[in-house]
Amino acid sequence: MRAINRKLFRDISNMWGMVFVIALMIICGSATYITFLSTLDSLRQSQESYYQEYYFSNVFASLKRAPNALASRVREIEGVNRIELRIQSGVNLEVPGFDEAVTGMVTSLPDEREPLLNRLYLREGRMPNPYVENEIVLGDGFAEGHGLSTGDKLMAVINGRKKELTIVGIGLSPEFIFQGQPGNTSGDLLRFGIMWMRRSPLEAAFDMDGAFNNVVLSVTRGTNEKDVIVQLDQILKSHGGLGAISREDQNSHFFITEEFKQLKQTATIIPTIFILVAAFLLNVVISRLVRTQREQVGILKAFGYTNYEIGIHYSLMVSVIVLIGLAGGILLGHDLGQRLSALYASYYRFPFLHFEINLWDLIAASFICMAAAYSGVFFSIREAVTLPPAEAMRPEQPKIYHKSILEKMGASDLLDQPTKMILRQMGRQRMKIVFGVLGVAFAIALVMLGRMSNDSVKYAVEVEFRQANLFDLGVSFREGISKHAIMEIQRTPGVYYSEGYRSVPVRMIAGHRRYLTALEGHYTNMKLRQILDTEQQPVEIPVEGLLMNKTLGEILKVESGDTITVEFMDGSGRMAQIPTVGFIHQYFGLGCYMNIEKLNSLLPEKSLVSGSYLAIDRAYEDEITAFLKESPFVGEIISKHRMIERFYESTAQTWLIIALFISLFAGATAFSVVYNNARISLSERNRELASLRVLGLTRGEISYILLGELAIVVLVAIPIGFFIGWGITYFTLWSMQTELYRIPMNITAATYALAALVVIVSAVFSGWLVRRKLNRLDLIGVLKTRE
Amino acid sequence: MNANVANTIAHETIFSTRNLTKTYKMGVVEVQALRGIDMEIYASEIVVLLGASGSGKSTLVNILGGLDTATAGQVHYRKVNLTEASESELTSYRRLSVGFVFQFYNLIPSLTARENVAIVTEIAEHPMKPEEALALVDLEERMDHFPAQLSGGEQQRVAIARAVAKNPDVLLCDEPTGALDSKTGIIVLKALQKVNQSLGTATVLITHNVVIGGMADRIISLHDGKIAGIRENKVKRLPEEMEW
Repeated sequence: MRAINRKLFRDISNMWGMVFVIALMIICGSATYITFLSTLDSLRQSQESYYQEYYFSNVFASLKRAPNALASRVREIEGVNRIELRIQSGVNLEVPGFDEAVTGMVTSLPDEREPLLNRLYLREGRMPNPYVENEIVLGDGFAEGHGLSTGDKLMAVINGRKKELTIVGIGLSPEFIFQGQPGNTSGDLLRFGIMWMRRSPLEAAFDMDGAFNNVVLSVTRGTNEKDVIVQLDQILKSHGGLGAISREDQNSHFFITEEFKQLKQTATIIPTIFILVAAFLLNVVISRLVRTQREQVGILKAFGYTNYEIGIHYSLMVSVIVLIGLAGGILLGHDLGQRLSALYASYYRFPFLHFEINLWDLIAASFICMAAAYSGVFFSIREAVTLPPAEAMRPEQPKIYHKSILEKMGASDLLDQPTKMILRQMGRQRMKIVFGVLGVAFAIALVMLGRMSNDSVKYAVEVEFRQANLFDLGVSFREGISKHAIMEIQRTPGVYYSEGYRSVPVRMIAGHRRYLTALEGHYTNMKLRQILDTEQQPVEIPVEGLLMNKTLGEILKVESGDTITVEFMDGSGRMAQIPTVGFIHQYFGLGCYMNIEKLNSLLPEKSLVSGSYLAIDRAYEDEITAFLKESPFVGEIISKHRMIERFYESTAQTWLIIALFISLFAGATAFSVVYNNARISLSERNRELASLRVLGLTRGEISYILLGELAIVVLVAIPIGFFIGWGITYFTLWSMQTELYRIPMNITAATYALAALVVIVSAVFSGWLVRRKLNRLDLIGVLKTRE
Repeated sequence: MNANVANTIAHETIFSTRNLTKTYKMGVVEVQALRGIDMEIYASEIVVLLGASGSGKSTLVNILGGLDTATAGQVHYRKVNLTEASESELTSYRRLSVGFVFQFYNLIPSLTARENVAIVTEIAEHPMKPEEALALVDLEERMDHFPAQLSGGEQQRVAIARAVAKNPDVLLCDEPTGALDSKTGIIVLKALQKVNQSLGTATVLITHNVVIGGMADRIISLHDGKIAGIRENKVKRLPEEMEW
C-alpha cells in the first residue's frame, strides 16, 4: 500500500469517533431511503403484476338487479374488453369464539369457469365445486386473523337466512388487496371477511336467477374510462344503477394508492434530512482536518505530490466514510425493508410480496450520499489543494477574536471570563454554529414528523368520533326499512334512545362538474350526531336546503346559496334541485346533509330509514349487538367505543413504533451533531483548556467553557427545530391530503416535549462522552508545544 | 504583604523534596527523568534551575506545580505532602498557591489581556485587580488587546501578570524567555524581578541559559536527573546588565 493511502486509513482510524457519527447519519439516510423506496417499489411491482396476471377490472358498478341479457348492451360500449356479471352482497358472519359483530362481502364466481376478471389466487385448498350450495373460498386475511383454514365451518346470515358454510379454499383477489368495510378508513381483517361462492347458490339465496347486481369491466388500452362510465350508467340507470366507478375510486385501489403516496413522501423527506445533516457534519469534520493538516499538505507538496494527488487523497477519505455509511445503510435498509414489507403484507393482501433492494434505488442513494458529502467538503478540499507549500508549512496565523454582540451591547461586566470565551468562540465560528444549530433543529423536526400521524390523526379521530358522533352504536340496514323499525330498536332492553337517518347515493351536479357521494337525511333536532361547521361549531340541520362538505363545495365550485342538481343513484332515477345553505367541516369523506323528511319527500318511498344511531347502556352492548345481528335487515353494526379502542390498539400502536424508530434516528442525529461539534472544539481548544487546568480551573469549570457552547447550540436549536418541524409537518400533511382525507395539523405539547427531550438527552450523552475526554487532558504536553 | 511579614518568612521553606524520583514508561523503554532529588526552596527567593535539555528540570517543576506526580520520594509544599494529594487537592493547590509562566505563554486567544488575568483572579481567594497585575508588568496601556494583537514579549508579560495576580506563594516559570529574542527576554526577566521584589513571591525559573543564573539568589544545576550543584549568588545582577 502506498504511504499516502496508509496515512488515509490512519487518519480515519484516529478520528473514528467522528467518522462513526458521520457514517451513522449516512446509514440513517441511506437505510431509510432504501427501506421506504424499495418497499414502495416492491409493493408497486407486486401490485402491477398482480393486477395484470389476475385481470383486475377497470370499471366497477353496482345496481339493484338486471337481467344477464343486459350484458350484450354493455359489451357494445366502445373500448370494453372483458365483462363479468356478478352477484355481490353484504353478509353477516358468526365466527365461533368471537363476540363482536362481523360483517362480510360475498362475491359470486361463475359456475363452470374461472372469472374473466378479478381472478382468485388460491393460497390453500380448491375452488368451490359448481352447483354445490355451501362451499366458499375465504379471504386469506380474515382466515389468518381468525385462524381458520380449509375444512372449517362458518355461520353466515345471507339475505336473512342462516347458513353453515364450509371453507374449501383460502384465497385472495386484486379487488381486495385492502380489506376493509366500505367507507371505513382503516382495514379490518377481523371484523370484515371477504368470501366467494359459486353463482347458482347465490342466485338462489338472493333471488337473482338469471340476473346480476354487480358488473366489472376491463377496457382496452387507450380507452377513456370516464366515457365508459357515462355510458354504463346510462344502461344501468333503469335497473337501479348506483353509479359506476373507475379504479381510482375503488376502495382497495384507493387505499393502496394513498398508502403509496404517503410512503413516497416519507421516502423523500426523512432521508433528505439525514443526508443533509451528514453533509453538514462531513463538511465540518473535513474542513477541520484540512486545517490541522496544513503542514502535512505543505510537506507533501514540497516533496512533489501534485495538487491532483492531494485532492484525490482527501476525496478518497470522504469516499471511504461515505462507503462505510452506505454499506451499513444497505444492510440496515435491507433488514428494515423486509420488516416494513412484512408489515404491509399483513395489511395489504398480495399473493406474493418479495422484498428486494431495487438496484436503481441503491445507485440513487449512493449518488445522493456522495453528492451531498462532496458538495459539503468541496471548498475545504480545494483549500487544501490550492495552498502554496511554503504557506501551508507555516503554522496558521493566531486567530483573531472580537468581543461578542452581547458585550458590545454593554453586558460585558455581567459576564464572567468563561462565558465571554464561549460567546467569542461562537462568534468566530459562525458557520460551525449555524450547521450545529441546523443539525439539532432537524433532529427535532424529525421527531415531530415521526409523531405527525399520531398527533394529527388522533386529533381528527377525537373530533370526528367523540365530538361529532355522540352515539354508542351505529347500525346500517341492508336496505331502506320503515322508520317504525326505529321504535322497535328503541324497545330493545338497554337501548336509551334511537334515531334513524337515511343515506342515499347521489351524484351532485353543478354545471359540468359532478361528484358521486352520499346525501344523508337527518332529523332537524337529532341528538346523537353533530354536524360541525367550518369553525367546528355544531350546526342544526336546516329545514330547507342542504349542508355541503366544504371540500366538496370547492370541487364543485359551489357557493352558499347556489342551487345544485342532485341525481339520486338509488335506482329511482329521480333528480332534484336543492339550494346549498351552508358548508360543514369534516376530516374524512365528502358528505352532504339535509332534513330527512325533506329528503324522503323527494324519493318514491317516503318513510324509510337506512340506518340508526343508538344511545345505550354499555353494560348491555353485547346483548344488543347479538340481538341486532339476528335481524335480516341489519348490515353493519359499529360500536363507537370499540372502534376508538381498536384504533388506539392497532393503528396507534403502529404509529408508536414508527415514532419510536424515528425518535431513535433523530436521537442519533442530535448525538452526532453535538458530539462532532464537541470533539472538534475539544481538539481545537485542547491546549487552551489544558492551560486553564494548569492555572487551577477545575474540570467542571473547563467543561463549562466547552460544553456551554453546546448547551447554547441545543437551546437555540430547540425553538428553531419546532419551527422547522411545524413547517415540514404542515407541508407533508398538505401534500398528503386528498379529496377524502384531510388530516388536520395538530402538534401536541407532548410532541414538542418529546422532541426537545430526545435532543437534550442525546446532547447530554455526547456531552458526557466529551467530558470523559476532558478528564484525560494532557496538562504537561500542551505546555511544551507551540500552538 | 508588609515588610514585617516578609522578614519573618524570609527563610521559611516553601518546598522540600526528599529522594524524589520520576520514571516514565515510553513504550517498553523506561526513562529515569529524576533520580533522587533532595532540595529546598525558600520564601521570597529567586531560584534558577539550570540544565541541558533532558536534565529533568521541567519534570521537577511539573511535580512541584502539581501537574505531575512522583514515582517515589516525597515533595512537601509547606506542611502539605503533595505526593499524597488527590486530583482535586492538586487542582485547588494550583488554583490558590502556584502561579505558572510557560515558554509559549498559553494565553487564551479569545480573551483580552485584562480578561486573561481576570480568569484567574475570579477564582482566587485574595487576588489583586487584573489592572494592578498588568501595571506591574507595564502593560496598563495594552489591557484591552487580544493576544493576537500583542507581541511575543507582551504576551509573556500578560502571562506573568496572570500568574502573579492571584498573589501566589510561588511562581514557576518554565523557559519563560525560550521563545523570545534576547532584548525581549530581558524585558520579561525585568518583569519577573520586579514582581519578586515588590511582592516577595518565591520564583523558580527554569532555563538552559547560564547567563540568566546571574539574577538568581541560588542556582541549582541539574544533570541527568540529579542535582549537580547548588550555588549561591553573592551579588545578584540586574536583568538589563545581562547579555546573551
